[in-house]
Parts: sequence; structure tokens; C-alpha cells
Amino acid sequence: MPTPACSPTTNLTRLMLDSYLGKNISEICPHGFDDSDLNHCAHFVCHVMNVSAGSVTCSKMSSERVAGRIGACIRVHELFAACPVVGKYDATLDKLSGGVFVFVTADSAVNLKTKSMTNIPKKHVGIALDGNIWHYSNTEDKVVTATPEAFRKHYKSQVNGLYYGDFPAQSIPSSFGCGR
Amino acid sequence: MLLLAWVAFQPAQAEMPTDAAAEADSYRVVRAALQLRDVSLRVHATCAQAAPQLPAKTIGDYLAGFLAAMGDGRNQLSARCRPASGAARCELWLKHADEEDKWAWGIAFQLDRLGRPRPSSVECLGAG
Repeated sequence: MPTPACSPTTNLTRLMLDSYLGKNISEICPHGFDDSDLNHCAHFVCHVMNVSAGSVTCSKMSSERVAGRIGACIRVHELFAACPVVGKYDATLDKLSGGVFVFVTADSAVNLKTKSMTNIPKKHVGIALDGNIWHYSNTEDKVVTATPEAFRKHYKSQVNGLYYGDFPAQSIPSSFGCGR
Repeated sequence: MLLLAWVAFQPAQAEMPTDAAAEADSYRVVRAALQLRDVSLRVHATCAQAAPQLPAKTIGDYLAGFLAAMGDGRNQLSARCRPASGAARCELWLKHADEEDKWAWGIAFQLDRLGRPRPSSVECLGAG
């Protein structure tokens, strides 16, 4: 699949997201933060949207950081807190808004009033657009897609809820190989 | 004195089989980490909201939350130290993998010149 041109844009597109399909995090993160023991779901979506929110980024965690490239956020609960608006996910949202972050975790871990999520281990995040979700599979170690129905079943042994988060204001989407 | 602390964390490979030496090194890191159990989660921004079970106030609460989540699947404890200013910087990782339930969280801390963990140096590690 050809990589879309690296022209700056504020509009997230399927072509952009598809450019990441099948990629391992080692191909996506310029800073070499790619230990396969770690969970890279937040790390992936933050590189796509070039978001640095939170207490720590991939560049801070790496000894191979590259000057001139931003560090991306790496923690799901910190990304959730950084979203300007959060709520229960509805499949029509991503079609209306031009994309959202979509989180799956136990309902008991989320407090919408305080816009907070507890750092329980079983939580995951992807990017929803046009009824599809792009996310980093930590078992396959690559970017894959899922339907919202399949994404809701990401963790078998807990009752999952789906939540959305609007992209932070500073977000700028980029295609594979075009990150800031 | 600086040498004293670092020497204390050098593998004793000359005297022990590799597995035994690795276990002894891991023991020292785990022991030092447990000595930090009462350190407040306010010690570093990376720890402030990182505990998986609430209420949580200390590094002990933080580690206990992830230890409690290490059920079915593959679980691993990983410990390592390297030379750093002062004496050494150590990391203790708790790792778990059970299909998509895959994570690694832990702490990093420094040892002083006598080989004691520095409470103010604690940071919380992990992603996901």
C-alpha cells in the first residue's frame, strides 16, 4: 500500500489510518520505545495523532530518543484525561466528528464526571472512524482493525464499556512515516 | 564508598552458577523495592495516578495492585541495575500476558552510596 504524502492536515482519513495496518511499533516509534512486553495501544494512537499528553512519553522512556521528534503519550488513562470531551461511545459518533479515540475497559474504572480512568491493567484504546476501529494488537504486535462490536469484547473476563474521547486541540494526524 | 554500593549489585558469577547469581541480583532489587513501600505516590508525576486499585497512597499500594492482577497467563518479575550517579539505578518490572491482557508496570529508583534505595528517586514505569 503506498504511503500517503506527508502534507500537513487536520483531517483524519481512512487512507492515513490504513497506512499503519500491519506495522509493528518498532516501525512507528522513532525513539525506539518498542519493548514487546509493554502494551503499546496508547503509544500507537498518540503517534498517529501526535499527542504528547500525560506524565511520561516514549521519548522520555527511551535511551535512543531522536532529537526534533515529539514524544508520544503511552498511557491510556492519561490520554483519556487529556481528551477535551469524553462520554459513552455510540457508533454514530465517529462518523459525525471525523474520528475519536475509543476506549474499552471495565465500567467501574471510568468516572465521566471527573473525566478520569483508573489505571487498571485491562484497558485499551484505538481510533474510530467511519464505523471502524484501528488499534494496536499486543498479541499480534501490529496495527489491526476491528468493528466496535468486536472491540467491546477485547477483554473476555470482564464486563466492558466503550467510551469515546475527542482529540485534544493540539492533535495533528499523520500518515505512517510522517509523524512530527 | 561509591564503589561499595555498585559492587554490592555486581553479579557474583565467579562464585555462583548463572541462575543462582541472577536470582541473588533479583533478590537485592526486590528487597530494595519493598523498602520503598511507604513512599507516597506523589513522589513523581509518573506515579500520581498510576495505581490500579483505589484508594492508593503509596508505592506499596501501586505494586500490590499489579501483583494482585498477575493471575492466569504468563507472569514474570524482571529486575536489573546499572551504574548511575550516586551508585546505581535499578528497575523492577511486573509483567503479565494472557492474550490481549498484556502489560508491564514497575518502578525505577536509585541506590545511594551505601546501597540503600533513595525514596525521593522513585519513578513509576509502564505503558498501556
